[in-house]
Amino acid sequence: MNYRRAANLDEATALLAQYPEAQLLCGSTDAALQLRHAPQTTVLIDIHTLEELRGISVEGDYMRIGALVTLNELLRSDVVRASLPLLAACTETFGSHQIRNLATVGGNIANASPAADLTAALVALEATVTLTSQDGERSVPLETLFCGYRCTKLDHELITAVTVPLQTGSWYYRKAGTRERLNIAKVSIALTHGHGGFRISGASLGPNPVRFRTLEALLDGGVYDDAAIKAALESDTDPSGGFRSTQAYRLRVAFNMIKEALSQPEER
Amino acid sequence: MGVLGESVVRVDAAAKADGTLRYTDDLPFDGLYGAVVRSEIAYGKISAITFDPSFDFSDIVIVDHRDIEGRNANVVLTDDQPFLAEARVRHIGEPILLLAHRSKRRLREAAAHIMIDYDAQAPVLSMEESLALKQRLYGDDNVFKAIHTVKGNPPDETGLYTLEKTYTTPHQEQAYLEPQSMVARFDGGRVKIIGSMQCPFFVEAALEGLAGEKIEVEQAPTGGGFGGKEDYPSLIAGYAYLLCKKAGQDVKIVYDREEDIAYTTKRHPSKLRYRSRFDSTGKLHALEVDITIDGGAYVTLSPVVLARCVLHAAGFYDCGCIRVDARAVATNTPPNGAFRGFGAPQVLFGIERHMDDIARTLGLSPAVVRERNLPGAGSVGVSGVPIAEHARLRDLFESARNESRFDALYDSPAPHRGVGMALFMHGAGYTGVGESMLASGVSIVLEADGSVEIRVGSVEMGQGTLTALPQIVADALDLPVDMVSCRTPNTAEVADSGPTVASRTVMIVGRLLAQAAGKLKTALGDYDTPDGYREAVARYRQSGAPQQFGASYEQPADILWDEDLFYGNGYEAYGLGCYIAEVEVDPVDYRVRVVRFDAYNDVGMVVNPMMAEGQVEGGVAQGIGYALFERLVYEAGRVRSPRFSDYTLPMAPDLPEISVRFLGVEAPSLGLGELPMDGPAAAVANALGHALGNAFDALPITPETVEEACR
Amino acid sequence: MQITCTINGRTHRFDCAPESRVLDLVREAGMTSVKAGCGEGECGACSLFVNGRLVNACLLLAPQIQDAEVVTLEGLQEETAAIRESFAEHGAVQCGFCTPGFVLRAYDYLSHGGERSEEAIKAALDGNLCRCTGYRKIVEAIVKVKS
Repeated sequence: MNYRRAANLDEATALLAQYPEAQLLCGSTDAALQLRHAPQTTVLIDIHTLEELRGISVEGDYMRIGALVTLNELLRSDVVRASLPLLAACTETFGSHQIRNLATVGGNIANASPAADLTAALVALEATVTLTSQDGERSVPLETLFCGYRCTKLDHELITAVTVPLQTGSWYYRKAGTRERLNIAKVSIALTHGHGGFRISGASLGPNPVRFRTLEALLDGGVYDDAAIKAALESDTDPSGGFRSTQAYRLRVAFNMIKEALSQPEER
Repeated sequence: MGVLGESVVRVDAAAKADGTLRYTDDLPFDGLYGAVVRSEIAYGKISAITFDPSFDFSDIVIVDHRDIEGRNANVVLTDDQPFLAEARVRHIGEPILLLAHRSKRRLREAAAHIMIDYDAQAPVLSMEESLALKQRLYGDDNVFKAIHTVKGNPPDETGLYTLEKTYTTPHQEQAYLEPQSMVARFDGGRVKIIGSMQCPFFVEAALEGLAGEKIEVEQAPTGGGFGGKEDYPSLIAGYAYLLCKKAGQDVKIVYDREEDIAYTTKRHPSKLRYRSRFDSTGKLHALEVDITIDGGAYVTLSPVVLARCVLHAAGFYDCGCIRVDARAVATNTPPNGAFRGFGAPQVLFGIERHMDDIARTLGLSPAVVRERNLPGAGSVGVSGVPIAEHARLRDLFESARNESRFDALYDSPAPHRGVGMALFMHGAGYTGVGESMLASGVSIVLEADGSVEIRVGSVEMGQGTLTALPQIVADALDLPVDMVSCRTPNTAEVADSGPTVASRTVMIVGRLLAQAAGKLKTALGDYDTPDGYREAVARYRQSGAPQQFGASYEQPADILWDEDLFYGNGYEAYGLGCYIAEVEVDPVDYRVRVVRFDAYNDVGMVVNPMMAEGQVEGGVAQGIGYALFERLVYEAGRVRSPRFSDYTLPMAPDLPEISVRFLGVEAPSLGLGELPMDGPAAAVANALGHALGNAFDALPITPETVEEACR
Repeated sequence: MQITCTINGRTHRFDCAPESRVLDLVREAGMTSVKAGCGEGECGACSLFVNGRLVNACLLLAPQIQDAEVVTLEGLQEETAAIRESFAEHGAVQCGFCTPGFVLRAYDYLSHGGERSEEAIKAALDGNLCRCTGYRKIVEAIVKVKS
C-alpha cells in the first residue's frame, strides 16, 4: 500500500491528480472495512489532518460545514441544532457514539452508500458540495453528485465543504432499522416544507439519495390523497428487496412516514 | 456464615473491569498463527489441491489429514465428523488444510495461493430436501436420530375441537463476545492446549483420539459460551494441536467474527407441527407433535438436542394422550450444536404459541386456557411419569398472572399494545441416564492456612462459577467465602466434574461439592469460631490424614429412565418459568418494542441472587433477540454477511426493564442457566399476536414480517 | 511506515503497514484491555481514546494515530476506579470481555457531564454490545457510580 499524507489542501489535490484511483482517508470508518474486505486501490491519500476542511460556520442564510467535521461535532453544535434541526435529528441516529467520533460528513457523502441517511437529509435540505481539484473549485447541488449505486461524479476532486441553506419552515425526519440505535437504514425520510414548497428525500429507497420530485409536486399542489402519494413514491423511488429488507416494507414505511410527516411536522 | 443466598460480589469482577484479566488472545505468546483453509462448496469431492508454484511455501507449516497420527474423527456421540476433510466435503467452510506462520499477513497470502478443485454435487440445503432424499448424506434416510413416543390412549373425539399448526424457528448464533480462540504450547515434545472453552475434558477426550495420547488441556478465561464453546472447541483445539505438533512451536488460532459466525455451530433450526384435540373449555385431551430439526452436515450433539426437544415438546401441561415424532436430519450446512436451552427454546416456542392458538380458537384468555391445563398430582408428562413439580408450577403461574396484572392488561389493551405469556420448564442436568454416565467427581483440598481449594473441571464463562461454587463450599464449612477458591480447570490437575453445560453446575457439581465439604467438616470435628477452625485445621493436618476430599455422582434412587422406551424421569429436576411480555408495535415502521418484561422463576434455592438475576436478564435479552432481532440468512449453504452489522443483537436501548422474581427458594438448587432463554420468544410472539390479532408462527419476527401481517 | 504516538503517556513507535489496524498495534504494545470483538465497529470492545475522543480501534488505521495521544483503560485506572467498583458491586460484569469497553464509555459519558437517568444512559450505550447481562445491571451501575 502506497500511503501519502497530504500536509495541506494543495498537496491533497496534487496527490489526487497524480493518483486518481486513490482511496481518501478521512474518518476511516468505511475505508478501514473496505481495505480489509475488498481493497480496490493500492494508494491511500490521508487527508484527515487538513485544517482547511474543518469547522462549522454560518455565512448569511447558509451554513458551511467542513468536509472533515465529524458527526459528533455536528451533534454537539448549538448552531446546527438551532438552524438545521433536521440535520441534528438525523445525526443523532447515525451509527454509534464511537463511530460518530470518527465518521466525517464528507466521507459519508463520498462513500455513496444507498443507505446513507446523512446524505439523504442533506439532499432534502438542498445542500451543495464544494469540490476542489488542481483545476480549482466548483460547487454543485449534492443531489447531482451521484451516478447510481456507489457511484459519484467526483473527478480528481475532493469534497471540501457542504453548504446548507438554514432551515426556515417545518420539517420531519425519521429512520427505520432493526433496532433502536446503530442501524443501517432500512428506510429514512427527510422532509422540509417552507416557502419554496416541499423538499423530500430518503435513504435506502434507490441506488443513491435523490429528491422525490413527483411527490414534492403533488404535495405542493395540495394533493394529500393516499393513492396519489403511493403512486408518486413508487415513481420517485427504486428500493431494492432481498437481503436486508423487502421492497414492500421500504415502500410502505416510506409512505407511512410521509403520512406521519404531513400529519405532524415538527414546526420551528 | 450464611454466604448461601447472599449477593456476594463476584471474585473475577475486578480483574475483568480493570482489563487485566488475560483471555486466550491476551496471553503472552511467541509462536505461529494458525489458519484454516476451508471448503468453498457445500457438497462434493475434492479433486485436486494445487499450491501455486510461483509462491514460496517453504516457510509455511501445512497440515492435511495425512498428518493425523490418531483417528481423523471428532468423536462426540458418533465418529462421522473428520477434523480435516479427506476426499469429500459436506458443508461450506469444512476444514481441508491448516496453515501456520509467524506473520498473519503471510498466512493470508499463502492461503490465497492454494487452489482447491472440486467435483461438486447438488447440495441438500433444507430439511425438506433432506427428507426427500435429494442426496443420501447419512444412512438410508438422512436421519441422524429419530425418537417416537406415545403416552396414553387416544380420547373419544366426540365434541372435541382439533387444531393443527406449524411453527418454525431459525438458526441462532451464540454471539459470545470473545470469538473462538485456542493456543497449543509446545514444550519439550509435549503439547499443552490452553483456550476458550466450556468443557476441558471434552477437548481432552477429542484430542486423545486425534493424537493417540492424552493431551493436557487448560481453560483460559472465557468470554462467553452459551453452548457455543461446548462442542466446537474440540475442533479448533485439534487444529492448533496438529499445527503445533508439526511445527514444533507454539501455535495460536483466533477466529475473527466473520469466520466465527460463518462456520461454528448454531442453534438448530426447527419445524414443529402441533395437532391438538381440546374441548370447549380449552382442556387438552390429546396432543400430537411432529418435530424436525436441522442437524447440519454432521451428527455432533443433535441426538441429545432432539431428546430434549421431545421431553419439552408438550410443556408441563396435563394431557391424557401425547404423541411425539421427532427427527434430526442431515443437510449440507455447517453443523449445528449446543446453544443455551439445547432444543427446549424451539419446542417451547411451539407449545406456548399453540396454547395461545387454542385460546384464540375458543375466544378464551390464554391465561384461562393455561390454567385449565395446569398439571395436578395425577398428571403424567410426555415420558410417562408424574409431573412432580405440579404444585410449584401452579404457585408460579398464579403469582405471575396476578402480580403482573395479566388479565387486566389482556382484557383492555392500549392501542398497538399487547401482552403475552409463556409458561415453561427446563430439565436441569443431562438428559435421561446422562448424569450417571458422566459419573462426575469433585475434589476439594484443605490448605495449610485453612483455606480450601476447589478442583473441578466446571468453568467460569461469565455465569459465575468462580463465585457460586466457593459460596456453596464456604457455607458447608461455615467459612467466609474468601477462604475458598477454585483452581484453574486443567485436565491434569482437577477432577472431571463433567462439562459446564445443561444448567448443571450449581445443581450437580454444587451438590457434590457440598458433600465433599461435609466430609471435610466431619474430619475436622467441631469448631464454632474462626480461631476454633484454625485450631481444628492444625490438629487435622498434624494427624497426617489426607488433605483431599471428594464426592462423585450417584443417581437418586427414585430416578429411572429407559432410553429405548423413552420412558421415565427425563431429568432429575426441572426449573420452572412463567414470563410475561408487554409489547408495543410502531404503526409507522412496524418495529416491535418490548416495553415491559416480568420473569417469574422457580429454580429452588438461589445461591447468589444478584448473579442469578443477571443470568435471567441476560437470558431474556437473548430470548428477545431470538424473537425479534437475530436473523441469519443462508444463501446456497453460506451465511450471507456473517457480521454483527447484519446479525443484529439487541442493544441497551432495545431492552425493557426486566423484573426478575424467584419463587420456591426454600427447595434445593435446580438449574438456572438455560431456563431464561426458553420462554421469551413465545411470550413476545403471543403479546404481538394479542396486539395485532394475528398469529406469529415463525421466528424471528422482523419489522418486515409485521408489515406483511398488517396488510 | 513509521508511526509515532503516545499510549497512556509513553511514546511508542510502530513500523507497520499503513492499513494496519490500531486495534492490532495497541494490543501488540501490550494494551490487552482493548479487545477484538467484531472488527467492524459494532461491539465497542476495542474502544479507546484518541486525542480525547472515544473511538473503535478496529476502524482506525495506523496513520490516524500519528502524533496522537492514545489512552486505553490501562492508562485510566485511577480515573475509572469508582466506575469499576460500581460495575462489580451491581453485577454489571459477567464474562467480562465487553467490560473494558463499557467502562471507558461510562467514563467518557460521565466525564462529559452525562445525565444520570436510565433512559439517557441506555441511549448513550449505542456503541457497545454485551451478550451476557441484558444491559440492565450495566445501566444501573452507571447510574449509581459514586462521584
